[in-house]
Amino acid sequence: MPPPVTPAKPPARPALHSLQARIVLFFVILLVTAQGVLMFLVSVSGERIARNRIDQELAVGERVFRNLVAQNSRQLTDAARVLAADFGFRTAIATRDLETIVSVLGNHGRRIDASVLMLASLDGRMLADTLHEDTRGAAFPFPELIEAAQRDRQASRVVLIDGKPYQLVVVPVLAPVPIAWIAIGFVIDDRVAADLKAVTSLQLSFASQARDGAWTVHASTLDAPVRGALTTWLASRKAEPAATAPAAPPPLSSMPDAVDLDGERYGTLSPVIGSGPDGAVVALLQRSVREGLEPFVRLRNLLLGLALASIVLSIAGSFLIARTVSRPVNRLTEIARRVHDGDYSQRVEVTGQDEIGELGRGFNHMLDGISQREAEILRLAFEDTLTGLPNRAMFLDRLQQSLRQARRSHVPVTVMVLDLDRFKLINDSLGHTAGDQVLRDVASRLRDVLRESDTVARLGGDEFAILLPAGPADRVGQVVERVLRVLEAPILLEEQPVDVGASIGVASWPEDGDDADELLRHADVAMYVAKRASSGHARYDRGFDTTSQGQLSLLGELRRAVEQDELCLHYQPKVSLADGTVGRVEALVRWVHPARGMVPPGEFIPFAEQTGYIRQISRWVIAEGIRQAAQWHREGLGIAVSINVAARDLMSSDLVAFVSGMLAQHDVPAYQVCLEITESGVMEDPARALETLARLHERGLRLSIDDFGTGYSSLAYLKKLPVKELKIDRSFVMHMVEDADDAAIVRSTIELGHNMGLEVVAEGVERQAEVDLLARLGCDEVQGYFFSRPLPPAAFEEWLAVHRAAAGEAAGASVA
Amino acid sequence: MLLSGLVQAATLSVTVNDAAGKPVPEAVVFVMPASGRPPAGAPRPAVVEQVNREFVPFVVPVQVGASVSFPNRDTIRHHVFSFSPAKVFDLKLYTGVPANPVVFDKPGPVVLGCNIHDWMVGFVYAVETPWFGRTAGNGGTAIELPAGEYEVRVWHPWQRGDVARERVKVDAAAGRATVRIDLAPPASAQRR
Repeated sequence: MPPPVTPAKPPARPALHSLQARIVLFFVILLVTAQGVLMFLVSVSGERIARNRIDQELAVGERVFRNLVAQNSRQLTDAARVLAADFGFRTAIATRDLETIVSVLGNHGRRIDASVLMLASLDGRMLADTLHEDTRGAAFPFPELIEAAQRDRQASRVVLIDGKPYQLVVVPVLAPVPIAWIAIGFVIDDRVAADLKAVTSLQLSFASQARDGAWTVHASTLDAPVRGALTTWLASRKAEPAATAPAAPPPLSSMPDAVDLDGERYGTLSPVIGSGPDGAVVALLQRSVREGLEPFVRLRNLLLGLALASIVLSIAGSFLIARTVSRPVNRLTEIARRVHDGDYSQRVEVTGQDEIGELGRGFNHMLDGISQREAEILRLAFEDTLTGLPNRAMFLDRLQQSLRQARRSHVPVTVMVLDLDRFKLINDSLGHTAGDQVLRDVASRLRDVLRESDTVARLGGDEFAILLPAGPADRVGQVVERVLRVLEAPILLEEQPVDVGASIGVASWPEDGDDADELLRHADVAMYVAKRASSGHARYDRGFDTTSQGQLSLLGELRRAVEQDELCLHYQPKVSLADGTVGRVEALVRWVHPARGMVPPGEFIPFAEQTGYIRQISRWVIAEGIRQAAQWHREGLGIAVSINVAARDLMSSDLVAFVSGMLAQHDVPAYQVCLEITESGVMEDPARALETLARLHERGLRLSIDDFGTGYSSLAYLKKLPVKELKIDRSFVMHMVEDADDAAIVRSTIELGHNMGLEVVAEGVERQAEVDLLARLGCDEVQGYFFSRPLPPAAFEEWLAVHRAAAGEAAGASVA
Repeated sequence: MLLSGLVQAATLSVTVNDAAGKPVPEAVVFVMPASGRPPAGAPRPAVVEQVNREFVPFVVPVQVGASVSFPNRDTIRHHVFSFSPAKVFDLKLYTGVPANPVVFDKPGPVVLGCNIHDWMVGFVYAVETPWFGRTAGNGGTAIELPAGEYEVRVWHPWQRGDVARERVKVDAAAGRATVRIDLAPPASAQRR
C-alpha cells in the first residue's frame, strides 16, 4: 500500500512561459521584425521610386506633349499650306467675292477638318471669317502671327478665340506671290486632349486665364467632378505670370506640383502654351499619384500578403515543431505527477530516435527502477523479515480495510492476538537462533491452518495477530481450536522437542470495538486475560475494559505522584532471630494518593512494570532509600537499608553508576545499603544480571535475592551470584506452620542458603508460631507484621527506640 | 509713227539703282510724255517662255493691248495663271505653245504663276506707252523716242511703294536718267 500523499494537482502552467509559447514567440517576433523591416524599406524606397517615376513620367510626358504639339502644328501648317495653294481656293479668293470666299473657306476648311478659317489681306485686314460675319474690314486679331508668317512664311500659335483655345496657323495665299493671309484654326477640345492622353499616358487639360484672372477649363480628359476641382484649384493659385507673359515659348516646367483634386492627388505640370489678347492658355499635364503608385501598391500588397502568409505559416510551423517538443515533455510531466501520486503503471510512449525519445527511454528505465525499489521498500516496511508475515502496520491496514468493507456489508470481523507462552524461556535458554526458528515455525504453522483470505501477522516479539475478515461466527471457534492444537505439537529444535503453547485473545467487530486500534487492543487485553487464566484463549469482555480504563488513568496519576512527591518509603525492620536485634530494614514504597489515601504497592507496581514507568519509580526509591540510609548513618542509628531493585533496572546499564553516584552524593558507606533483586528478575537475562550484580558487589553493596523459590533458577547459577542473602517468599512462610510441604521448602531453602554461605531472611511473618518454627529451622532474620508493619521513618525510629529498649531489657534480663 | 517723221528721234538711257546704289536688273522702265498722251500704235506681241520650270524672262513689259504667248519649252506641262487685276487668266495644262496668246488689255502688273510649280513666278507689266524697256544686268536700258519732256517711270516686282517716277528732258542728241528705287525682295520663293 503506497504511503498517503497529498493529492498533487498539476501546476498551472503559465501559457506564456511554456516552452511551446516561447518557441512560437521567438519565431514570430523574428519574422515580424524581418518582415517589418522589409516592408518599411519597400515602403520607403518603393514610394520614393514611384514618386520619382511619376515626376519622370510627367517630365517625359511634357516633352512628348510639346513634340506632339509642334508636330501637330507642322501638320496643320502643311495642311494650311496645301489648302492655300489650292488653285480653286486661290481662284475663289481672287474673285474677291465675300460670299464665295466664305463658302470656299468653309468648304476647304472641312476638307482638313479645321474649326475656323480666316482670310486677311496683306495689310492685315479681315477679308473673311467662318466664325463671324461682321468682321470684314476689321484688323486681324493676331497681327503677331502675320508678322511671324511674313518672316517664316508660316506661323502657329495657341490662341483664344471667343474664349476658346485654338491651334491657329497662318500661312500666305500665294498666287504665286502672297496675295492674302489665311488663318486656319483647330479647336482644342476633349477629343484633342484624349488623343494626347493616348500618347502621353497623362491626364491632359487645357485651361485659360482671362485678363481679369478668371480661369476656364476648356478641355480635359478628367471626369467632370475632377474637372470642377481643377478649376477651383487653378483659381486658388497665385497670380499666374503666364497671364502677362509675352508670347515667347514657355520654359519646361521644372518641378511638378502636387495637386489634390476631388480626393485624389495628381502630379501636375502646367506649361503655358499660348497667349493672346484674351488671355493665356495653359496645358495641364497630370499624373494620378494613386495610379502611379498602383504597381508599387500592388507589389506592397503582394509583399504584405506574403509576409502575413509566412507569419501564419511560421506560427503554425513553429507551433508544430514546438508541439513535438512540448507534447512529450507534457506527457513526461503528467507521468511524473502520477509517479508523485504513487502510480507507476504509466510509461512514456517512446517514438523516434531523437533526444526526446532518448529522454523517454531514460524516464521509463527510471520508473522501472523506482517502482522496483519502492516495492522492495514497501515489502520491508510491511513485512516481517524474519517470518515473511505481514507486520503490524500491514495488519492494521488490512484490518482497517476489512472494517470498511464490513461496515458496508455488516459482516463481523474478528481479530485474534496470539502470544507464545514459553517463548522467553526458549529464547533465553536456547539462544536467539532457536527463538527465531520457533517464530518461523509458528508462523508457518499458523499460515497452514488459515485460509488465504485470512491474515496472519507478527506484531512483534512472540506476539502474532490473526484477522478473520467477514466470516461466519462459528468459524472463530474453529480457528481458535485449530490454532491452539497446531501449536500444542512440540517444535523440534536440534532434534529436541520443545513445547511452545500460546494464549489467544479474541475481539470481534462490531461488538468488541469500533475501529482497528480498539479491536487490537481489546484482543490484546483478552489475550492477557487468557494467559493469566492459562485458559488458552479468551474472548474479550466488556468487564476487562474497566481494568484497562483504570490502568490508563492510573498511569497519569502515577506520573504525577513521582513529580509531586506523593511517593514515600516505609521501613519494615528485619529482626535477628539470634539476638532479637534490628540492624536492617526493608524500604517499601508507598503512594499517598491525595484522594484514595494510601495505595499499596501491589496495586500500582505491576502496572508500573507493565507500562515501563517502573524505572522512574525505581530510581526514586533507590535515591530516597540511600538518602535515608545516609541520614540514619549520620545519626548513628546503625540501620542498613534494603532497597528493592526491579529486574528491568538490573538490565539497565547505568544502574551501577546511578547507585554509586547516590552513595557518593549522600556520603554513605556501601555496606549500609542492600539491594534486593527478585529471583525471576535475575533469570530474565542471567548473564547480564550477573555482570551488574558483580559490579555492585565490587562497590561493596550487599545483595539479596528476593522472593526466593518462585523462580526457576538453578543452583549452579545461583552459586555464581555474589549475593549475601536469600529471602524466602512470603507464600511459603504463610502456610508453613500448617503445611508440611511449605515447611519442608522453607527448611531446605534455609539449609541451601546456609550451605552456600548465605544469610536467610523470611518475609511475611505474622505469628509467634512462625517465628518459633523459623528460629528452630535456623533462619537468620525475620520480617513481618508480627514485629512491625512498614513504618514511616519517624515512626520507625520511635519503634526502634522502643524495641531496642525492650531488647536491652530483654538482653539485660537474659544477661541478668 | 506719225510723229517720227516730224521730230528727230533720240535715245534715252535710263539706269535703275537700288537704295545702296547697286544696279537693279529686270526693272520695267517706261516713259510717259510730260504732257499729252503717248502716241497710240500697234502693240508688239511678247513671249514668256517656260524654260527649265522658270518663266523666261522674269519680267516682261508690254504695251496695253499686246498679246503675249506662253510657249512651254519644258517637257513637262505647266498651268500658267494670273489672278492679278490687270489680267486674270489661266492656261490649263499644256505643252508647246498655247493656241491663243493672251492679250493684256489693261495697264498694270500681272503676276504669273504656275499651278503645278509653286515657285514659278513671273511678271508681265502692261504699260500705256510704246516707250518702255527692261533693265539689263547693269541696271540700264535704252529707249528710242522723240526728244521732248518726259516722265520716266520704273517698276520692279520687289519694289517698295508705288511706281518710281523721274522727269527727264530728252534733246535731239540723247537723254539720260537715273532712277533710284527701294527694293524689298521676298523672303524666298525658292524652288523646291
